[in-house]
Amino acid sequence: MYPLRLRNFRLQAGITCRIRSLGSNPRIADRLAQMGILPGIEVTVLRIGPMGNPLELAVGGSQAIALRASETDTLDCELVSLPLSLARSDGQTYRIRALQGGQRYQEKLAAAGLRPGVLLQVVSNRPWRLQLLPNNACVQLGQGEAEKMIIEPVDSTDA
Amino acid sequence: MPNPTVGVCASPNTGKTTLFNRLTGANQTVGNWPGVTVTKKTGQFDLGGRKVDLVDLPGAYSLNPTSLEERVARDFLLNSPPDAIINIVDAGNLYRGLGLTIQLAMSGLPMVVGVNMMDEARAQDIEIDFAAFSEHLGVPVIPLVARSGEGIDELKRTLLSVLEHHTKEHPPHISFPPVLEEAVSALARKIEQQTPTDLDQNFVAMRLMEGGLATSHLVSRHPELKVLVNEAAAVRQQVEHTLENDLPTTCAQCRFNAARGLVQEAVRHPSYLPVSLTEKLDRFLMNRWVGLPLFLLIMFLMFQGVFTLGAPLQDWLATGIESSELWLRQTTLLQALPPVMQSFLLDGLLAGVGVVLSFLPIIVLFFLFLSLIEDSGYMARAAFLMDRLMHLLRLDGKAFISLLLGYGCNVPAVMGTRILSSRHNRILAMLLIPFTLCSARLQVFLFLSAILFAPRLAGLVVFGLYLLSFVIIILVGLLLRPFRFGDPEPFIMELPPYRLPLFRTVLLRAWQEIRGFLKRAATLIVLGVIAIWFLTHVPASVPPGSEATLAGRIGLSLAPVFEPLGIHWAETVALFFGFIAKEIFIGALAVVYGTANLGTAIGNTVTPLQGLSLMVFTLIYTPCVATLASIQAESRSVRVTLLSVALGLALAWLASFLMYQGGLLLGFH
Ligand SMILES: Nc1nc2c(ncn2[C@@H]2O[C@H](COP(=O)(O)OP(=O)(O)OP(=O)(O)O)[C@@H](O)[C@H]2O)c(=O)[nH]1
Repeated sequence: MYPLRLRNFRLQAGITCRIRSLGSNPRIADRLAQMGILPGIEVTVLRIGPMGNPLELAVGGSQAIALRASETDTLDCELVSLPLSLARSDGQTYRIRALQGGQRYQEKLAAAGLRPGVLLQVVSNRPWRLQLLPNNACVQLGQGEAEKMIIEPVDSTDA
Repeated sequence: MPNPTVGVCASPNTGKTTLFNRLTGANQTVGNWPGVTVTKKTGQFDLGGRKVDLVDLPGAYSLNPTSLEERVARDFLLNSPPDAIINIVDAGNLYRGLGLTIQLAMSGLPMVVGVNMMDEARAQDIEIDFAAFSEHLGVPVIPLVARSGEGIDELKRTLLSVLEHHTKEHPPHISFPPVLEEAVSALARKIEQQTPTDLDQNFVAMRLMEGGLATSHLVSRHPELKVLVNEAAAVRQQVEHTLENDLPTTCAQCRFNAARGLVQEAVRHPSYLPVSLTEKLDRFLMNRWVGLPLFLLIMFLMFQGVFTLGAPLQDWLATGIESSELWLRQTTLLQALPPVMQSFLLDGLLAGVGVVLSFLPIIVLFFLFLSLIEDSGYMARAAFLMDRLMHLLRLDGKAFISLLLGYGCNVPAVMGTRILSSRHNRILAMLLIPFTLCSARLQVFLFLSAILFAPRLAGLVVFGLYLLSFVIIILVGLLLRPFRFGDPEPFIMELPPYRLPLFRTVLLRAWQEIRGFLKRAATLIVLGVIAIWFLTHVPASVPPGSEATLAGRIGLSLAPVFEPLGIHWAETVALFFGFIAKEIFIGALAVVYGTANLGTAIGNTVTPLQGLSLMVFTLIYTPCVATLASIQAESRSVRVTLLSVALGLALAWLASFLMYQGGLLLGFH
């Protein structure tokens, strides 16, 4: 049903993907291309409309766009990052990509050893218990804090 | 020497209209591009002591069209290249806007780029290096705030020097894959040998490779290029084969790579962006749960605003018309005329003018509200929220606003379909709007149901008619689903930030709509009213609307058709009058019955079931003259207009038939 095909992930607000190909519908592909939405570009799902359609996407460096999920079924994307609040505790290793909060938030998380680049696993959700790698320190975060932390999945072999 | 022509060419929502209004003031004409329903605006302004003709091109993301608007813009540039181009980009949306800027700069036409909305960029601490932009693009780039007029003088000065020096611009160099690069320059050299062009040869070479309309436009201006057409097509195939990608996409990729590089080099964003006002507002206005209720509330306020403010103005105009009619009747000049002429002038011509005038207040009010919604950026949100529902009928979300407005009055609703994004959507919405229960029809229904039903039932009957109107719209929408009116366009829409609408723009828009209505639809409406006058008043020797008039005779001969609906001859004739404006139906019925006490007359001759059937027929049968004139004016297609009449008549007959015969079967009468 959702247009941005993602393995293992349901599409939800907050997820960022990278477009791999514009898909096989030429009308959609042409229009997207002429608006600068091309393979290699990252898009973030800002919102999903009432009744699951359309989607609002933020496109790096330019205005948000809305498009119909049903019309963009064939768009092929890979997951780039997601807010911690959408992650599951399934043993997947993540890397912190960005902390989208004000200075106080950043300082608080830095004190707990959470800064961009740090690797972690999710132990449980709500409240969010994280295990930092490689030293296995444990950190607990609230829902609001989890929403502002953007993480990207990494292959455990990289880690 | 003719005035130089300057084209304003930009992506949608960059402030093109605002700049255009600023440069030309109210000194502009609004029309249509030949053959299509895309608005064309032209205007004049003074530049260095002479007049310049300014043409507002439809918003376009690129010269490789994916919509009707983009095709119009591209065709204009290729068919009649202007003496210079003003291109606008939104400082907050540079990457996307530059795609077009780069393409335009490559055309080699003299050009000035205005980076608009600099006030917003400054508020967000975005710094832009204009010298770097200028250097890479090969054309002057100027900061602008079209809204306040900041930078307009600088823009004019630069435009003047660009126009006067006629320097052939050096187009920006952007890197293409080597195969493509070589193919293009080889073709460009051959073009140079064939004929000199006012456009850059590389640009011409690319357009020739595109084929289709782009090529035929070029060939019609430079017949010498004809010999290269087949070669260009072959080259394209070869390049696409090597690159395993189609040409427009490859070019877009190269352009946007360059655009990204340019933004990275020349724009400095602050490191931390606070949550914008737009985002804060959207958390409510676009919320999954409260977004729709808020939207409906805003629509309700708009509807109330238009019609509660409009009704007194309409009454006031109606009184004016009435008293001028009374006054005219007294004048000796008129009394000297034979009675037929008197009747023609007063009941035909003056009545027609009255109908036209009665629409003016709501058209003004509607477009005031509509431009507020459009200019503030909320329209895109409305489309987002309603899209899922309206897509069931193959319409996009904005169509909801037009349909809703139809429940007040069909005429501005039809005019408002212009905001929809493709011809298909516009035509489909125009065909659906006449099935809305407008306030004129409501008057008829309130009157009839009060006579025929107990007070408790009367309200239910009117409510039922509203429901019926929804059902008919959905049914007709589903019925028309398989049809395509014009090329379908994908729904990909930008969501601009919220902005405070500019009072001047809003007023100018309302004024232009009124002028457009008077110019395009008014004559048709007056002619329609006169035609009805003719049917109902000729021959002059008999009372108007009686059996011996043309309408009466048509009514009589149609009796077998209306009998199964339980509609009598007299009402059939009144329906003719109702075509002028549906609320006239009641007055006409009084004329045909020849009685002042209409209530008793109807109560005596029409059963409740027949009354219901009559109301169903009145709801659906055909749009009024003014609505039809607007459909014709907006669609520019006699076929669409006729289809609208035919659909209405056929469905009305069917629905009334089912209503009446079904009722009889169930034992009502
Ligand atoms: N802050 C700011 N807003 C502007 C400026 N120029 C235009 N606007 C606003 O931007 C919105 C869009 O402007 P328009 O002039 O309608 O843009 P357009 O390019 O003609 O848009 P379309 O007609 O949809 O293609 C309006 O709400 C304007 O008031 C500017 O310099 N600064």
